[in-house]
Amino acid sequence: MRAARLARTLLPYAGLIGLIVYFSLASDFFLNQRNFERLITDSATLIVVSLGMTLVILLGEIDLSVGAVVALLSVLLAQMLGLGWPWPVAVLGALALGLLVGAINGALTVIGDIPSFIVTLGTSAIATGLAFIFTGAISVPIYDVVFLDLFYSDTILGLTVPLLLCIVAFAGTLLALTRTAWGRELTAIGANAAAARIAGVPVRRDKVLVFVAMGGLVAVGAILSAARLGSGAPGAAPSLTLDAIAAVIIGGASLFGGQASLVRTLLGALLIAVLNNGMVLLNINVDAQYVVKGVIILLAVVLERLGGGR
Amino acid sequence: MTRARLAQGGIFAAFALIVIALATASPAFRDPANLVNIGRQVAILGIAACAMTWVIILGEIDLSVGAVASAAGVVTAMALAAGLGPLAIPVALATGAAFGLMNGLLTVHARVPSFIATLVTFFIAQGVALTLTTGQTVLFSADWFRWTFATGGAGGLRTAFVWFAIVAAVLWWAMARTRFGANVHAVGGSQESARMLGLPVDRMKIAILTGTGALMGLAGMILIARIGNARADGAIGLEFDAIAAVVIGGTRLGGGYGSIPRTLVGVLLIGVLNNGLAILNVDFNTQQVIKGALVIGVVLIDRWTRPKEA
Amino acid sequence: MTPLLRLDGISKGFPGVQALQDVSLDVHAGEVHAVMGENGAGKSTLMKIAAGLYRPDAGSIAVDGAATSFAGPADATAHGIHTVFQELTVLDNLDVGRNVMMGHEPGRGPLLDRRALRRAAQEVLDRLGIALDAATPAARLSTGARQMVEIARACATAPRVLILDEPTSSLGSHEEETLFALIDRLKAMGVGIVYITHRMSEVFRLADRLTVLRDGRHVVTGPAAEFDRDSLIRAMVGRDVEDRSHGMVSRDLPPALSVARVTRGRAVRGATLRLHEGEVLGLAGLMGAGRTELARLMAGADQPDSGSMVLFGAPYAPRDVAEAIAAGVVYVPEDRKDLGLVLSLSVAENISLPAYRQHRRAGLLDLAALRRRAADWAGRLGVKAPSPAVRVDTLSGGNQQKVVLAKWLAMAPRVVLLDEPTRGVDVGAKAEIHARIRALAADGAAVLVISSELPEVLSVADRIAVMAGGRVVGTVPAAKASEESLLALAFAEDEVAA
Repeated sequence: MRAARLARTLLPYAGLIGLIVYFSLASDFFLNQRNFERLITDSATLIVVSLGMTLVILLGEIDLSVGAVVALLSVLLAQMLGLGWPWPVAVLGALALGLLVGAINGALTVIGDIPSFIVTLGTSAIATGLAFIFTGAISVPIYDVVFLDLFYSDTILGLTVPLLLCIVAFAGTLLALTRTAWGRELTAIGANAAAARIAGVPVRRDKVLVFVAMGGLVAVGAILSAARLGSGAPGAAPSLTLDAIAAVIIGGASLFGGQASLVRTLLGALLIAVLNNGMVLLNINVDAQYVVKGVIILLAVVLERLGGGR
Repeated sequence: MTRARLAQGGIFAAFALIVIALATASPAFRDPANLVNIGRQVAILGIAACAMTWVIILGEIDLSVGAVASAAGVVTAMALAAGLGPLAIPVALATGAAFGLMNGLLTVHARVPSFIATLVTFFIAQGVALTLTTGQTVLFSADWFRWTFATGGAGGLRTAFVWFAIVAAVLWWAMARTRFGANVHAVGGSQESARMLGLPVDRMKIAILTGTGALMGLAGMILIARIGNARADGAIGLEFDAIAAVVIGGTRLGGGYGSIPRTLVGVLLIGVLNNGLAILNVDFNTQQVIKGALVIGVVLIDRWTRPKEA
Repeated sequence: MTPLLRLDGISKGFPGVQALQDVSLDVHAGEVHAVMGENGAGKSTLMKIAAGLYRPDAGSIAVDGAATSFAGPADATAHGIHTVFQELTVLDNLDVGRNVMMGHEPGRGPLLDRRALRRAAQEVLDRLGIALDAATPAARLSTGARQMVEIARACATAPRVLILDEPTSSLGSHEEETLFALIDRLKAMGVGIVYITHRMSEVFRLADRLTVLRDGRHVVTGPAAEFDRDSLIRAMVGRDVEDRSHGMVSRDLPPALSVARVTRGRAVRGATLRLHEGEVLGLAGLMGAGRTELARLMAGADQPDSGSMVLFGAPYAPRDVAEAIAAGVVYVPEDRKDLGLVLSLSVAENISLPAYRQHRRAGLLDLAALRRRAADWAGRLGVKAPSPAVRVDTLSGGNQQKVVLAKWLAMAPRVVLLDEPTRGVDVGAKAEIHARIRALAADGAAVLVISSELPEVLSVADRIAVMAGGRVVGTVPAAKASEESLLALAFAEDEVAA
C-alpha cells in the first residue's frame, strides 16, 4: 500500500521523465529545442484549459464543454477577423464571449442547482451545434497575419507567446489559488460547501467565479488554437475535454473535490503533451492515442485507490 | 408536490403541442407510415434510455453508452465479416458487458465518480473502435442478422422495435415488481443507508453498469443491422439523447425516483422531435442545439418546482 | 443463564489508534444493558463490531453460547442482532412500509408482493404501538418518527438483541418518553437491549446493568442500582469533575440583539427574544420547537419572512452570514462534522476560513498574519494538537469543538450564538467549554446557548428562554428555574399548538 502511494505520488514525474527518455531513444526528432518549442505551442491550449479544469474539479464539479466551446470561440474569432475587425478587438471579443459562456455554465450549475456534468453536456451540444451552423461545417480561414504570428510564433524575451501565455496563466491561477481569499475558500467549498457557507464564505459567488475564470481560460485556449490552425474550425479540439480532465486526474486531484494541485496538473498536462507529440513523431496511429490515454488515466486512478486515497 | 405534478403536466402539454404543430406544418409527419418510421428510429435510443433509467435511479450516470454501442457494433461487424455467424451475437453482448464491467469496477473499486469512470470508458471504447476500423466503414453481409435485429417483421412492426419493447418490458418489470428493483430504489435514495442496511450496494452497481453495457451490445447490433455496415462513430451522441429522454420523462437526477414508463414518454418525445425536425428540414446541428437547451430547461424546471428539502 | 449475545476480549485497532483493547460485554434476554463512556471510549467501535460492520482483530463473539463471527451486517441481522445507529438510515424516497420491511419483503422468489408488504409493515407498527401509517412517505416524518421506523424495522423479524446507539441524541423530551415506553415493551417481549448513551438520567431510568468504557478499555460492569451520578462520572473520566453552578442573578444589562415577532416558514412563528450584553441566555425547548431555525435567522444563514431585529440600537437584517459576521454576530452550528468544520483542512485553515476577506493587502492574503492568528487562538482555547497545520479530523471530538469555538471567537464577536456547544463532547472538555462561555459573557459579549440538555442550560445560563411551536413562550432567571418548570413551559405550549 505504501509502495502504491509512492507510485501514485511519483506517477506524474516518473511518467513525464519516462516518456521523455523513451521518445528520445525511439525518435531522432524528439530531443531538440525546436521540437520542444513546437510541443509547447501545440499543447498551449491544453495547458491553459487544464489549469481551469483544476479549479472546477477542486470544487467537485466538471466541465465537459471545454472542447466544444474552444471550437465555437475559435470559429467566432475567425469570423470577427473575417469581418475586418482589428485583431485586438476580435481577441477581446473572444475573451468576453468565453467569460459569458463560463458565466452561463456557472449560473446554471450554481443558481440553477443542476449537476455540472448535465449543464456542460448541454452547453457542449449547443456550442458544437452552433459552431457547425455558423460555419456550414467548413473551417473559417484567418488572413490576419499579425494575429497569426503573434499568437503562434512571435517571441518576447526569447519566449514564444504561447509559452508566455502558459506561464502567465499558470502563475495567475497559482497566485489566485494560494494567495487570495477566493482561492483559499475554494478548497473549503470543494471539501464541505455547507460548512463554508455557514462560515460566511460567499459560496455561490465563489463557485460561479470559478466557471467564469474557466471561461476566460477557455477563450485564451481558443485564441491559441485559432492562431495555430490558422482558422476557426468547428471540430478544432476533439479530444481537449478528455485531455484536460486526464491532466488533472494524473495530477492526483480528488474527483470528489477539495483537493487539487496546479503544479501537478501542469505535470499531467505536459505528460499528455509529450505523449501527443511523441506518438506523432513515432507515426503511431492517431486513434490509438485514445486507448493509451485511457490506460494512463486508469493507471492513475487505480494507483490512487491502492495508495489509500479517497 | 402539486407544483411538481404541474411541471410534469407541462411536459405532456408541451409534447402535445409539438405533435400538433408538427402535424399541422407537415403532411409528411402526419402520414401513418411516418409513425412506423418513428417507432423504428427510436429503438436504439429507447434501449439506451431504459438502461440509463436504472443507472440514474441507482444514483449513477453512464456517459459511455454511445461509444460502447459503437464499439460493440464494430466488433460484431468484424465478427460477421470473419464468418463467425451466430457466434457474433455473444461476441457483441460480451463486448458491451466488458466495457460495462469496466465502468462498474472503476466506480466501485477505484471509487471514481461514475461520470468520470464512464467518461474514461467512453474514450477507451471510442479508441478501440477507431483503432479497429482505422476510420473505415466495416462492411458485412448477413441477411439473417439484419432481419433478426432490425429489418425483419410484418406490417409496421420491425424487429428493432420488438427488441426495444422487450427490453422496456423486462426492465419495467424488474424495476417495479422485483426485490432487485426495490433495492435499486433504496440504494438511489441513500447509498450510505442502504449499505448500513446490508444491501449489496457494490455488487448492484457492478451488475447494473455491466448489464447496461450488455444492453449496449444489443443496441450496437441493432445499429449495424439497420444500416448494414459499422462505423466507429455509429452511435456517438447516444448518451446525450438517452439522458435527455430520461430527464424529460421526469426521472430525477441523483437517484431514488423515476420509472421506465416515464422514460418511455421521454423517448417518444425525443423520437418525435428528431423525426419532425428532420422532416421540416431542420439540420442535425440545430437539433443538437434544441435538445441541449431542452435538457437544461427541463432539469431547471424540475429543480424549481421540487419542494425544498428541510 | 446463557447470554443472548456475548462479546469476549474484543480488540480492534485502526491506523494510529487502538480503539478497543480486550473489551467484553454481554446482554441477557429481557434486560437493558447500558454502555457509557466519553467520546473516543470505544462505544461506537464496539457496536459496529456487534453489528457486523467491523471485524475484531482479536476476541470472540457468541450468540446463545455458540461461537460465531459476522461476515457483514446482513449476517449479524440473520443472527437476530439488530442495530439502530445514530445516523438514521430511513430512506426518504420510500414509504414507511418499505422502510420497515427493508430486507425481508414478502413475495415469491424475486417477485415483490406490495400489498402483503404494506400489510405486514402495518402489523409490525401496530404490534409495537407505533402510531404511523405504513403508506406515509418517509420524507414527511419527523426525526422522532424516523427513530420509531428504524426500531420497527429492527423488530420486523423477531429480534433477539437490539442495539441502540444514542437514540435520544436528536429527540425532544416527549418523543423520548414514547421511545422509553417502546423499550419497556420490547424488554417485556424478551428482547435483550444494548443501550449506548451520554445521558446520565436515561441510564438510571432504563438500565438494568451498565458497562463503562474508557480509552478503549473496559472499566466496570455492574447492576445500575449500584451506581450513582458521581460514581458513574468518576468511572468514565477517571477523576472527579466539579459540576459548577454559578447561580448568577439576573441583572439589568444593556440589550445587544432584540428579535421581534420574526417568522420563517412553519418553524419560526413570531418569536420575540432579547439578548443582553454580558449575559448568557439559555434557549431550551423540545425538538422542532424552532430554536436552531431562530438562531439561523439571527446569524444571517436564513432570512425571516416577517418581523424585525435590532442590533445595538440599529435595525439588523443580514442578507447572509458574512453580513452578520461583519456586524459582530457569529453562529456556532450544532453539527460539528457537517457544518462546524471542514474535516479535510488543517486546524489553522479552519480557524482562518471566515477571516480570509479581512486579511488582505492589495488583494492578496497576508498569510503570515493568518498563521499567527490561528496559532494564537488555538492556544487560547487549549486545542491539543501537535501543530496548527495538522488536519482537524485527526483530533478528538472535544478538541474539534474547541477549534470550532476558536474559529468564531477569533472573529471578535459581540454576539455569540452557540447551538448545542457540547454535544458529543466528553465530560472534561464540556467543563472547559462551559467555563469559556462564562468568560465570554464576563468580557461583555452577549451569548445565546441552545441546548437540549436541561442541566446544561440550567448550569451555564443567567436567564433561560423556552421555545415551543416556533415562539418564545417564556423567559425565566436560571436561579429560579428547574428542569420540571422548563419542561412544563415547553410542553404546555406544545399541546396548545398541536
